[in-house]
Amino acid sequence: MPDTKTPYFTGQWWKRKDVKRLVALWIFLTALIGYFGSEIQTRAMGAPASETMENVINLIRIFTWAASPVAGFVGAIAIGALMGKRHYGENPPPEAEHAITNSPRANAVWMVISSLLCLFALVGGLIALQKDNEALLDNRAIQINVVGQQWAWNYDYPASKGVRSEVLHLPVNQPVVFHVTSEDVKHSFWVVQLGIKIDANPGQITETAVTPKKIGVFDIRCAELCGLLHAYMQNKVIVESKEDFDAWLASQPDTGKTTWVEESEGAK
Amino acid sequence: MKNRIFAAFATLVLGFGIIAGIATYVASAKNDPGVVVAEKADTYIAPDGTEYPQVKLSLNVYPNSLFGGHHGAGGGAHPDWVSYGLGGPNGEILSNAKNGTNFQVPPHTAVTITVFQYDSGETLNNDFFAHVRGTVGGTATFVRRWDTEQKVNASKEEKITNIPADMVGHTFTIHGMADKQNQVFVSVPLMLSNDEEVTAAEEEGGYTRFPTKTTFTFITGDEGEYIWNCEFPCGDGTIARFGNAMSAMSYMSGHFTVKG
Repeated sequence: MPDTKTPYFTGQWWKRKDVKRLVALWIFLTALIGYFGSEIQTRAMGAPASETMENVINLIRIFTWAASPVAGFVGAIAIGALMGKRHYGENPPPEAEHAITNSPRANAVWMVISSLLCLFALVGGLIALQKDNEALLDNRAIQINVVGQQWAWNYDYPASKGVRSEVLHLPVNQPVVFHVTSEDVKHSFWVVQLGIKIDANPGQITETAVTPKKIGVFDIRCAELCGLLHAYMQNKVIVESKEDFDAWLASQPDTGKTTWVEESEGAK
Repeated sequence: MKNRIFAAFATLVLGFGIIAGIATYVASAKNDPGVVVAEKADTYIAPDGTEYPQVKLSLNVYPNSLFGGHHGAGGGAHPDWVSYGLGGPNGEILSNAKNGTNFQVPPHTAVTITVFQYDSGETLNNDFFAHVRGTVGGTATFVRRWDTEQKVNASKEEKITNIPADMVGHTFTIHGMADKQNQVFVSVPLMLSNDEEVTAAEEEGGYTRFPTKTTFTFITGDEGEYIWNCEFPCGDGTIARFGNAMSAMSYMSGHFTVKG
């Protein structure tokens, strides 16, 4: 039988070797998760091409760094538990007599920190979303209808003579509002470097807006697993000068209507 | 201690065995036959005068898989599913073709594809795909009735840029991933064949004598990996009709590789 009368913890707990090791590991994991967690995902998405995307990247960095101490703490405890000496034998180890019991103070601290983190994420996200909503109401915005279908996107320019394209063209520095829908199952319209992503739902129209700030060619992907060829449901957005955009629009044929007539009808 | 080591080792072996078993099953079940390398043809002169080497492909679209071909005798696992297949230059049904939905063409080449469409059809989900897109001149050459016995046009040949969205049998649509390769988007609507003739022929265990014939040409860019699929909802009995044949490679979709 273990000696339960001898205190398992003696002295000041923060001076214990295993606590110091845990704290060192916590700091190391926090830095590791904070840096790689924020940098890998932001670099994978490419350089931002809109203010919205800059906000998204800032939010990702802030949220990841805010959450990394929590993840680092859990990781440090898990690694410490795995690396610690194991007790073999029929009797429970001495520390089993000192299992952590309910601690109102610990619970309160944990709840308050978690709540503050959630509140911080909520407020930060709402502020970023508000900027998108402002673009939705901008009367200079061009309107584009986006249709998703297994497994391709197409774009209609309702203010044009009937231009429909499989490649999205946008003028730089002009707000654009996307009216997004699907012809079959759920898709998600994600313009990666512009920082917008919104569900494309069959039978419904969702709206999002953005103002491209950089000329270039950027990626569009479906972000909702939508079937066999989901991975191939992607294409490009070409952000160009207003002059180039207008020239492109003028050069496109009217493919918004059918012109073919059957031979017999044509002869009438 | 020896027992613990043995148990750990056995667990590892079992884990790898299960993963290998699943991988083997998936590889054998994907039903994705070999590759058709497009036949070389004459030089192609584009409307702007540029000369390109040319390759050709002849494909058929069937209302079922009973033609055999890459599905095997009797239509394979799903004889009632619609399917593309390799065809002869005059729409001949190649029952012994072992490949039929994966294609390889050279880069910087004019690719001319002729599709004989033996199936009936209905209305597209999205009339965007009723238009010819990505071909030379944005057009295709179309024959409403091709006589497979006489091997001649049974109706006028015409150049089209689109067909009515409610008269589409299938589409042949090539696209691919956006990363690190030329963007390719070619989509051509294939008009339905006469519904009564299709049904009558099916009841006799065959295919209509008068499929529609659509020919189009596009120019390839650099090497790249693409896919093609049909954008007409022909997976009957499933959500949005994009299941069954539409969600299994080698029926209404396949790989399209630009390599040479």
